[in-house]
Amino acid sequence: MSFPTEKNRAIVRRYTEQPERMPDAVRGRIEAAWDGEPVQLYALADLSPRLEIAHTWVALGPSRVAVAHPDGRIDHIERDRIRAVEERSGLSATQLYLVGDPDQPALAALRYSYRQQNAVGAIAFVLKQALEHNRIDHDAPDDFYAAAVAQPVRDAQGTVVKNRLSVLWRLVSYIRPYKGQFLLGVFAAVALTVLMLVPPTLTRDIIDGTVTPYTRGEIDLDTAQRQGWVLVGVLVAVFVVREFFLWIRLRTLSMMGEWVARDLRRNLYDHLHKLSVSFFSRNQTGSIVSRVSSDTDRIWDFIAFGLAEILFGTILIAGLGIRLITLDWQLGLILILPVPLLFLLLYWMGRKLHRVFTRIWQKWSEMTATVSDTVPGIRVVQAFDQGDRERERFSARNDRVLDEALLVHRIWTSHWPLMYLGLSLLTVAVWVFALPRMLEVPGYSPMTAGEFVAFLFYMGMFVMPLEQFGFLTRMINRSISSAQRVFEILDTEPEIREKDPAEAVALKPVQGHIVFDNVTFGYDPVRQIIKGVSFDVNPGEMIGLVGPSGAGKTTVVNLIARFYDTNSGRIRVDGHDIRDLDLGIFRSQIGMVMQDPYLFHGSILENIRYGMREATEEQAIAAARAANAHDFICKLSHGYDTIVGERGHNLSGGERQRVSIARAILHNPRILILDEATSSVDTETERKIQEAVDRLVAGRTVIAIAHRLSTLSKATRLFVMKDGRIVEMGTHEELLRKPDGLYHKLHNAQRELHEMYAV
Amino acid sequence: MNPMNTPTQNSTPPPPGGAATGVRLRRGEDGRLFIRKENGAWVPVLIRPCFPWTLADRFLSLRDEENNEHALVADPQELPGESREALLAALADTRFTFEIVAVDKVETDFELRVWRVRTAQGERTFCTKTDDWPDRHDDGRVVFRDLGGDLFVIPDMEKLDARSRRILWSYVA
Repeated sequence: MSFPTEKNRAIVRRYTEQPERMPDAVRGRIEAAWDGEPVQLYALADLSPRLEIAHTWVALGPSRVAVAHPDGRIDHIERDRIRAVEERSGLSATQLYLVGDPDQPALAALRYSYRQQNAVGAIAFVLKQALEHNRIDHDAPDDFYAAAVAQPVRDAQGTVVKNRLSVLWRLVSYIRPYKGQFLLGVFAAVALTVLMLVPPTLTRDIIDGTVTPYTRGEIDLDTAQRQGWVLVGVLVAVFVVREFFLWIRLRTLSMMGEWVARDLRRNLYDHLHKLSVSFFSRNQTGSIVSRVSSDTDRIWDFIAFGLAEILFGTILIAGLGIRLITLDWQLGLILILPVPLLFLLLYWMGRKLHRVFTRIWQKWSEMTATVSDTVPGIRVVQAFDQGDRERERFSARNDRVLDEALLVHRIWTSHWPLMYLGLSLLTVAVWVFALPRMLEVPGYSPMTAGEFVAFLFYMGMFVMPLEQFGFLTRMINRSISSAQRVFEILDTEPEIREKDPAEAVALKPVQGHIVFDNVTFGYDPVRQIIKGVSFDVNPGEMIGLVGPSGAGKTTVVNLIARFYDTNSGRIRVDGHDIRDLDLGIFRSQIGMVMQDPYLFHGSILENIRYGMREATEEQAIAAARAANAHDFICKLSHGYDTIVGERGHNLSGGERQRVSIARAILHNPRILILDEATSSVDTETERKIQEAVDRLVAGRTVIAIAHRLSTLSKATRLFVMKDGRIVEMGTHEELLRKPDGLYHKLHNAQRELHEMYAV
Repeated sequence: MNPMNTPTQNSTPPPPGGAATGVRLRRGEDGRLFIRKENGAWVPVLIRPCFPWTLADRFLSLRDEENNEHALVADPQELPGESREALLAALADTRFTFEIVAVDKVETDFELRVWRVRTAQGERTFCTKTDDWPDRHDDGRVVFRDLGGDLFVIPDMEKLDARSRRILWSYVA
C-alpha cells in the first residue's frame, strides 16, 4: 500500500471519526502481558454483543491474540488453542468467532460493521492461514489499520486536501507558463471594468455641462454643439476602447484556458500510462474518461471566464461603491448599505435552490438509470414483451423529474421578482431623496439632473455583479471539484517503480529463461494470492498452468509481465532480477493473447500491426495466414481495411481472437502468455485457433493458462496450482500417473464431462 | 408444518412435501447457531435470508462455513419453540443494520457526502458518493449504503424530528 499513512489517518479522522490507531495505553498493556512480543496487526470491532456501537480492540501477535474490551478488560488467547476461525456476515455486521474446542463456546466472539472488514478480516485471514501452517508476519500494524479503514474512502476519493483554496491555488499554478498572457488578460479585465464606469459620468457632463446650460441660455448653440459633440466623441472612444479590452480579455484568457486544459489533459494521459494495472482495476473507465474530458473542460471554463468574472465583479462592485460615494455620498449610502443584505438574499436563494437541485439530480439519476438499464437489454425487454412495463416505469420517473423541476421554477420565478422589487424600491428611495434636491427645495442640498441620471446608470450596473456572483459560486465549486478529480489521478503514485534508464538492464533479445524464487504476492500485504512459488522455465519451453479458479494462475502471468511487483521473493529473467530490467524493452518482447482479446477501434490491418507499426503488408498477411485469420478477413468486403468497431465488436469472438493471435505473431515476442485463448468459442473455431496457437508458440518461451486440458497437449511441462501454490509439476503423462493428484482428478472430471455431452 | 422447512445437504433441492421435523437448532453461549445433524452432532451454521428485505423472517437458508445448505426454513414460526427462539435470536445478528434516529449534519466534500447521524446503536459518521442515492423501499423504509458497505436504515421518515426531515429533504426525494 503506497498511500502515505498520514493521509490514511487524515481520512480516518475526517470521514469516520473513529480512532486513527490503537490507543498507546491499550497496546502497551497488551505487549506487556505478552512479555514484550509485538502487536503485528490490530483492528477495531465496533459493535458490542448487544449490537451497539462500542470500541473493542483485537490485536494479533506472533503467538497470541488479545481482545481489549470497552470496560478495560483484556482477554489473551494463545494462538495454538485456536482450531477454527468462523466468519458470519450479515446485512451490515460480521461476527468473527475464534473457536478452540468445538464443544465449548468460542474463545472469542467479535462483532463489527463492514467498515472494519478489511482490518478484522486481515487478522482472520492470518489466523486461517496459520491453521494451514502458512505463517504470515506483519510489522507495521498502525499503517495497516489506517490503510484498511481508509480504503473505501480512498477508492472513492484518492486525495485528501486541506481546503478548496489549496486546490484553487494549485490550479492557478498551471497558469505560470502563460504568465504574460494571463497578466494581459487581467489587465484587460481591469481596464474594461474601469472604463465601464466612465459613460455615466460623461452622460452627466453632457447633461449638466451642455444641455442644461444651453436650455437656461447660459451658452449659445454653437458652444453647446461643440461641447456636446466632443463629449459624444469621447463617449464613442470610451466604448471602442472598452470593447477592445473586452476582445483582449476574451481572446487571451479563453486561449490560455485551452492551453492549460491541453497541458492538464496531456499530463493526465501521460500519467495514466505510468500507472499500474491495479489502478485501472480500482477505478471505473467512465470515471477516468470523464476526468480527461469533462473535468478538464470545466477547468477551461473557469480559467477562461471564471477568473476574469471574479475580477470583473469585484472591481465593479468596489468601483461603483467608490464612484457613488464620491458622486453623492448621501444617495451613495442609500444604495451601498443594503448591498450586504442583497448578498445575503442571494446566498439564501442559492442554498434553497441547491437543495432543490439536489432532489432533481437524484430524480434525474433514477430516470437516466432506467434508460441505461433498458437500452442495452432491449432484446430481453422485447423477448419478454415487457415494453409496456418499461415505458410505464420510465414515465413515472420522468414525471417525478418534472415535479421537482416545477418546484425549482416555482422558487426561482418567485424569488427573482422579489429581488428586483427590492432593487426597484432602492430606485424609489433614490428618487424620494433626490427629487426635492433636484427641485432645489429649501433645506435640501441641490442636485443636478446630470448627476441624477449618472446615478441611475450606476444603479443599473449594480445588478450585474450581484447576478454574476450567484452563478460564479456554482462555477467555482464545480471547477474546484473537477480540478480535485484531475489532481487525484496526478497524485497517484505508480505502484511499479521503474529503474533509472541509465542503470536499468536493456535485455534484448530476451532468451526466455524465467525463474520464480520463493515468490509471494498479494494485492494487499496480508492476503496472499501467491504463496512461496518457485519454478524454473527454460528458454523455449511451453508451460501449461492449470488448476481451479482462484488458484493464482493469472496472477503468475501478471507477475511475469511485471504488472505487479512481488511482496517477497524474486523473479529473474535470463538471470536478471525483473525489477532491474528496462521495463519498456522487456515488455516489448512479451506477447499476450487473452481470453477476451481487445481490439482497438481502427482497421484490421492497424490492429495486426499494433505492436509493430513498421511491418509491411506482406508481413501482416503472413501473420494473418499463420493465425488462420486471412481467409475470414478476405471474405469481408473491406478486407484488411475493415473497421473493427469499438473493442472489435464488428467481429465474432473467434475472429477477434485470431486477429489478436496475428498481432502476437507479427510482434514476434520472446515470451508468450496465453490466458484462456481458446475458451468460449465453438469447436471448429477452437480448432482453427489451436492451429494458430501451435504455430505461434514455436521457438519461444510460452506460459499458457487453460481450463480445457486438451489445449495444453503441446506443453513441455504442466504446473498445477491450488490456493496460490504449485502443488504438482511434470509432464501430462507423469501427472496422470499420480492417481490421487489434482491433475488426475481434473483430467478425469473433464473427460467424463466430455463423454457425457459428446453422446 | 411447511414442507419447505426441510433439512437439505449440499444445496440439493428439498424433496417435495418431505418431512420437516428434522430441523433442530440451538444457540451457543457465544451467539453461534447450531443445527443438529441426523447423527446427533451439532454443526455451526449461519443464516442466509433468501429475501432479506421483502420477507426478512422467512425462507432462511442455514449454511455451514463451506456454504453447504443444511436446511431451508420457510417459516420459523413452524419450528419447535427452542429452535424457533434460537433461530430468531441469531437472525437479529444477521439482519442487523444501523437505524438512523436523527440526522445532525450532511456535508459535501469532493465527491463525497459526509453524514453525521445518531443511530439506535450510537452516533456515527459515514460517507456516500455524491452520486449515490438512498433506496426508498415500498414499505417506506429509506436505506443508505455507505462506502464501506454498511447499511443505515430510516424505518419511517415521518417519525424523524423536524430538523432531520428538513436536512434529508434534499437527499430523499
